Amino acid sequence: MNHSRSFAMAIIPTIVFFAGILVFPSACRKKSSLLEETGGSGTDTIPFEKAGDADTTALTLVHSKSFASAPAPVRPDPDLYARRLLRQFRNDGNTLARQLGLVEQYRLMLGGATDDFRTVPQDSYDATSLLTLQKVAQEICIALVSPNPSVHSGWQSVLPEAPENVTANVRWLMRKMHAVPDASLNSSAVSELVEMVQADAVKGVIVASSYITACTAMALDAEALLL
Amino acid sequence: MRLSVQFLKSRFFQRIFATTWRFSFFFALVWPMQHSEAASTRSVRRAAQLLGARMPDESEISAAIASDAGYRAFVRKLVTSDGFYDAMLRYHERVLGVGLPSEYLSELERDDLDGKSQKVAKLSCRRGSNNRLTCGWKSADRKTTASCLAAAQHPVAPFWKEGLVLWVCPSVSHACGADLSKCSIEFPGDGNEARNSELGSSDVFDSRRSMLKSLSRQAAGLATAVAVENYPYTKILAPGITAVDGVLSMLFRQTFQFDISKLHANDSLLRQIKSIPASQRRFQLVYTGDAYETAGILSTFGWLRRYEKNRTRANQLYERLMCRKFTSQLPRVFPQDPGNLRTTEGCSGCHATLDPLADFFSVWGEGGGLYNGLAASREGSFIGRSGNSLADLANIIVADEAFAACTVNNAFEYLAGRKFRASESELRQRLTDYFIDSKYSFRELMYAIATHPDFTVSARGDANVTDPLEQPALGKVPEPTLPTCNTTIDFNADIVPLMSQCTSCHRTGAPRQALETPEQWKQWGNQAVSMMSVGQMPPGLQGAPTAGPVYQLKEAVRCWLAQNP
Repeated sequence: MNHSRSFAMAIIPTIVFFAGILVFPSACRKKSSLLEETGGSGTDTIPFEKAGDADTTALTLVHSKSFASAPAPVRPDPDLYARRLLRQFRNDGNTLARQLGLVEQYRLMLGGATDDFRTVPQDSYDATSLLTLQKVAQEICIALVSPNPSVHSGWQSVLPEAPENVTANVRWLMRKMHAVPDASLNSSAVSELVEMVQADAVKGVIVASSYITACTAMALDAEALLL
Repeated sequence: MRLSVQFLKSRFFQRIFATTWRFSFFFALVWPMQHSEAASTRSVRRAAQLLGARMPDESEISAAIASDAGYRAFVRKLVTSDGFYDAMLRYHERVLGVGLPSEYLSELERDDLDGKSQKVAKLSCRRGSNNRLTCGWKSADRKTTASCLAAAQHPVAPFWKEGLVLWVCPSVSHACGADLSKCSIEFPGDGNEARNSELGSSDVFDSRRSMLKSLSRQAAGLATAVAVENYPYTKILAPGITAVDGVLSMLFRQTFQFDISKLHANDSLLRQIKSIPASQRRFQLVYTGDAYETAGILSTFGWLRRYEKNRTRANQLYERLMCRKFTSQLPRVFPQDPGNLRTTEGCSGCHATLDPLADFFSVWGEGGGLYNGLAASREGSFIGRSGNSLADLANIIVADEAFAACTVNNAFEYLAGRKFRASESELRQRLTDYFIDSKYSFRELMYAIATHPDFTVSARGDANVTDPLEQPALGKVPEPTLPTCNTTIDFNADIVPLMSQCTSCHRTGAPRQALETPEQWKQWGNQAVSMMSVGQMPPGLQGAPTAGPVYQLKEAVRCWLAQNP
């Protein structure tokens, strides 16, 4: 009984879909109508010669002149912060766009640009942008480590191990979020984050949501705030 | 939306901040000293973010920090990757500063399509309870009306996502095309999702938002396409060059919805964009033939509409492309009728340069006047050279080394996070020479900075530079090594036989400056040499000439001028 019901549920939409294709054969073409109309004549060749390639000898000459001081810290672009953090773990798609939509309201407070670019993106932090960043990081961490099926449909927790394997999960998150090799992770930093996860146990049990605070702390670390 | 006081006082907040700043101290001060390889790890991460718009993975970091060659290979991979396009698009958005408010798109829309204020070409789409996506006509009163029964709807494959199926009435697919690219799409119920979707990634789409974004970004898209395809960076100002992505191509094709004549698209552009599919995410260069009123990014809608007045346009290019500012002290009391600002004391300090520069833009209307078609041109001048079109202005700009030095300034500031210091003038000069010698390869300029040994250090300095390097000087021709003039040049014997390359346009009675007599060559020769040196003249030249008749003429004129001051 169950089998026949699920069979029917699977086959009926398929039949309807293919019926549509048969009745309206033009409907499901992937080709753009723009191409259909024009016959795809293509664009004209760009009549410019290409620029040159690397010249190692000349490059040595350039590199022989030193910087007067070290490069300064660079703030990751506030308009792209949420998208880039999410895309480290998630593919583009409906859920990612929806998640970005949820934090979009914070973008200007985060220091982002207005649509007309009259307000340019901030290249440093102030109290407002730092506090907003924390809120945004928290929202994203929820979507990463403890997604809610009704909001984040199709997403599972990014944690590579079972939640109770705290050290492995924390090390993995640190490596990903800070782009630091495992060997370079500092054990006292790991310990503090592990404690943070353990402090957020739910009725004594470590669950995925126990990682939200630690994940947010990692997103707010100096290595993540500045390049 | 505001963060509440309660939140700031919460245990969660306080715990995170206490931990964060402990870590910050550790990473910023202790970590670099403890781990020698961290120096290059940090620069690997910065290079990946700024040149590839992503974080590096662990294997990339290991390979990049293992050796200098490994790091260089990683940077090379970044500047030739897909991510380089995304990173450079954002870089150019910031450097050029172009963006448009939504009402500017409304200005392009036709007001009354059918005489009843019904914008019938708009579709309102939604996701049904069974997850089925449907689209129906949207009427002016904002009520969506489906003009057929659900049973009569049929599936279509919309352009914005491959493999997606949407259900519409036959009248919709008939009017909007099988991929719906001829109509404006909105998903009012999923507005946030639609506004944050990348083309091709989500089921929902927002035509207005996408069109506005593409129009705003067109100048940045043009410069990015030039950089990514490794054309000389001077071509961002080339006459007849523009850039179009799928969404813009769609906008240009919706002639019933938009008054395209306001965008000054010529026939060549309209013909060529037909082959750019609506689903194309990247900007693609389109060459529409020499048009003296255009100059690459300076004549894009985004630039001309964002910077509405001719003086603003001139001021912005002076600042953004030449890295120079008008900083004369304002008069303490403004006269009620200052008269000619170019000569009035207290005003002329800026306006004597700014106004003749602004005159180059006079062919394009100011503000809403932009939509009225091309106006009469006016003679403008800049850096001691004159002309009457944007193409002339572009030639003057790229024939001055300040353009190259400014590009180096911007690229250095992007990667190093700070401006050049006063003591780094030689570094800037070497980078500028390298940029010019590479035929203005922006990609190689980025590579040169990102592989600099001082870029890869782990230490971080102050972003606030109190001793900035001075603005690039104007008036220097970007030609680093000039051959010696060994032979004596005779005007009649050596220049006249080659001169026809110029005199077909530059002759007496033609609209352009005549270049026929020795006197005319003495007056305009230096400018002509500059333009020929960088491949701007004669029209159609592919890059800076290194041999052939144009090169011979350029060298003959250069030496003749030097020998006959």
